[in-house]
Amino acid sequence: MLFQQVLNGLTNGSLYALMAVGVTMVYKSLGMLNFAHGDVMMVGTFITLSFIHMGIPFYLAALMGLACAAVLGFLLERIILRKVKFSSFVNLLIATVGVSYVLRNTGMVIWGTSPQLFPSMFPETLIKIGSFTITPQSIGIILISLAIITGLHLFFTRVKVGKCMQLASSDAEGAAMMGVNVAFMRFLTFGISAGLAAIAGIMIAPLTYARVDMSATIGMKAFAAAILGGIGNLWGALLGGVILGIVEAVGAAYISTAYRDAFSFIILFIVLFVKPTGLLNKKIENKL
Amino acid sequence: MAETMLKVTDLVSSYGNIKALKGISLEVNKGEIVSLLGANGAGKSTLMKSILGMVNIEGGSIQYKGQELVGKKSHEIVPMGISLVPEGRKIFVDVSVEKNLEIGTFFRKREKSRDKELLDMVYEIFPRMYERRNQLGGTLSGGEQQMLAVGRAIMSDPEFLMLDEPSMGLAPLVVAEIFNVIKRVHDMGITVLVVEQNAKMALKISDKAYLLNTGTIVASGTGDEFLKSDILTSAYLGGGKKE
Repeated sequence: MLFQQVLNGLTNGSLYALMAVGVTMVYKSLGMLNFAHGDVMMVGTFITLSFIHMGIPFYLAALMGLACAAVLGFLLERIILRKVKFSSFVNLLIATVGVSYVLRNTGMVIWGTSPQLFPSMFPETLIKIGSFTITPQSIGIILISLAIITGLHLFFTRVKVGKCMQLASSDAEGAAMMGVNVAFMRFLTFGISAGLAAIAGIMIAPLTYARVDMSATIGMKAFAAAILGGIGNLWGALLGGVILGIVEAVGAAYISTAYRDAFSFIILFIVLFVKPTGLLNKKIENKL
Repeated sequence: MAETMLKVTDLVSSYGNIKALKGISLEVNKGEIVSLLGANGAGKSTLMKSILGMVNIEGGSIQYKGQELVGKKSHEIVPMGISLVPEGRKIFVDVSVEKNLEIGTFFRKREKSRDKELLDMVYEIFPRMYERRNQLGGTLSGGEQQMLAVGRAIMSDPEFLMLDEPSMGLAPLVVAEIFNVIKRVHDMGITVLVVEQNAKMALKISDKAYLLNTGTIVASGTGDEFLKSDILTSAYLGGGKKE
């Protein structure tokens, strides 16, 4: 029973982590939370669904949905955020809230408000080990999320463009002085972050149905996971997501399902009270 | 006549409505060390940032080896062989010393073997960087961070190196070490433009110097000429109004 719940938690947690990574990347690069992140996920999911309804094979549709989400991320950066870049970060924040409303309401007009079935990319057969049942879906979600986050880590530490993205987000002016094209790196950051959101959405939708308001809970969980692990930290986002997922699943099973969503935020309060920088972030002092 | 490396003509730069440079002209020849002196707010750092394309330029021209820099972005200018050791060093605190040095190699096209050669040279100039190559940049002392910033600039194999206040906040012994390094860099054939508050130290190694005051050049001459005159004292001690 416990193992079963932990596994369910891991599945949801990997999805939160995937969303949290996108949140954390944008936060590190611009110093603000992107409130439209969940809605970008929703748009990516629905575009994929529309392609599937047109009869395009699943994987191709998913790839196209992902590409559309990435383009949406690029546009968001180029059209909206670059315009308000020189004002305060509060304006940036509010701009993303505005984008979130626009996306959600446009989504309602195009795709309607009723939840829609979303096909799963994994086989339905259950795998039984003793008394446990594992769905291929759980395993698939966990492995894909882990592979994506590991891949991103390698991209940021081994590949020159990735390294430059890291530099641009840790000190934009310093990076520009070294010759990094900071504007382009921000552009890439938004695109990758949006692409990740679309992948997460495509894996979440078969579990929860595709809904135009799916960003409300999952977007919030992504913020919580990113902050819990230490915002700006890739592995922190993974850890935060997994912890949230497991706490939720175990809490719902043993205490009450009614408080399912509350558990993650209680954990967030406790961690921030004890360690305000989040679990994995260290404070580095600046020397004069 | 020496070959001109950098020729700035009537440069006007601004931050929003504030004009930080009000028509500056200067020349740096190949192989020279030139210092820019002046009190805080005189426009020294702005001039360096203008050369790197990081400030809004309203007029004038910056010619580097005959090519116009005005209108180019910093990521286009750095690969032309210009490096800056920024004020406050701007090293990356959450990256190791060696990775910080590697950043210098990112935007200069050349053979891979040259990277290794330069890295060996940097470690030879700064043995302490070698000892600490795996430490995070943020764990270094202020002086070491400055060395790291200079090392990173050397890694980019520049022809023209700008240093913005390299002695700021450092102990006198470390300052002397930094100036020795600047001389070494110069001996490698690199042309140097240095902004300094520590005017005496800078003038001793400079071929030429310019004195800035509130966005204009108020005096220029050789290092010796400056050392002998009292114009510096008046410039730093509030004699700004004097012609």
